[in-house]
Amino acid sequence: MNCPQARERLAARLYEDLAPEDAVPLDRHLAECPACRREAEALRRVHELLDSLPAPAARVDLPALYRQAALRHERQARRWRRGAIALLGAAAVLLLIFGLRLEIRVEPHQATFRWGMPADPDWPVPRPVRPSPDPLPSVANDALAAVTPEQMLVCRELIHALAADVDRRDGRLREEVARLQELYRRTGGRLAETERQLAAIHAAQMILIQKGGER
Amino acid sequence: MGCDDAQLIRRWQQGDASAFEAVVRRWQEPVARFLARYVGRQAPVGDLCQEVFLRVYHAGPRYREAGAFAPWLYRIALNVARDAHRRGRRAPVPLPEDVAADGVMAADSLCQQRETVRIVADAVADLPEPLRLVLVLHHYERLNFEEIARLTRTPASTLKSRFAAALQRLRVRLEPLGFGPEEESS
Repeated sequence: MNCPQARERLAARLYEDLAPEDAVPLDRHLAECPACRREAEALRRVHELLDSLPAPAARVDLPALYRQAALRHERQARRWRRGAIALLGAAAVLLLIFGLRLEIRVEPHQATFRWGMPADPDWPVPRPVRPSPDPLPSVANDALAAVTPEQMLVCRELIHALAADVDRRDGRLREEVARLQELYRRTGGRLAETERQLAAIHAAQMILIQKGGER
Repeated sequence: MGCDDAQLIRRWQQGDASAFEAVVRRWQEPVARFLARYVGRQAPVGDLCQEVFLRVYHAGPRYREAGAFAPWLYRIALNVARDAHRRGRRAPVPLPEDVAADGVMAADSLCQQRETVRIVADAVADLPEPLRLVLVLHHYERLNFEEIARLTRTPASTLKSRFAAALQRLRVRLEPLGFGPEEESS
């Protein structure tokens, strides 16, 4: 073993971190090398000086710790309650909008609110109505009479496609609402758990205070 | 000792408050010692120690590291110490009150001992944080390098190098002040 290798291992040797098979050659080198011996002695002196630092005393105040823990639990419970209320509000709004298929349209001079079930895709498309013998002309009947069967088919397909799209969207939104409801349910459960823990901490506090009084 | 700590934690998680108090009584001195050495302040050690065990109390239900309680606890203490360090300027440890006279020590010896303590404490406090941390944990808390590696998420080989570097720095700082080794008699 040479000096650089020996000096790399001096700290480990001092703290007994060196494996026995590495310690033997190091000890042999130290026996023969005054310079490395001095290095080892210098580190040993540092070790001694580090041990001379006195250890500070500290005592944890357990009643104070329980009080602080109760306060933190209370703050956390308040945050959870606020979060749960906000989540419930958001879920209610989403339920309202998508559960009722609420549509809100705002135009310059009017606002339109619509809700209800989408058109049934299997609902039969009304056939063109024959013009009635009514002598008074009907604009709608004239318009329907002018529509060809091919055009009616295109309209029907369009309506079916729109209805299918609305159904898909509704399905996704129903899943989202269910997820939010589950989240709300779990949040409520955690709130209940937190409140139970608070009650246990208060009970422990009372016991400690009583024990302190008895002493 | 690690096994006993894990049992105490399990009992505490099952609702036994006395188990938590036993953990506190067992570990408050080592934690205080670590905080004093690492932070380099005397005054807030009590407050920091209190904060460490408050965090332990809150984190206890999530503790899952069976047989590795010491690194988990020191990790919490390290986070508390770092938060304190970020909030305030680190100062060297003024420790003359702990170096009490024993009634028979001569006044000049007592002064010399206090001066030695002050110089060594300053030297430790002035080490760069990564070196100071591994020095405090390995020399004072007797954690091995694998435990310190788990705690600090640093490879053990890096920690060994840092430890050796910390000792060298202390030696370079203290030897010129008269704290070198005794010369070999020829």
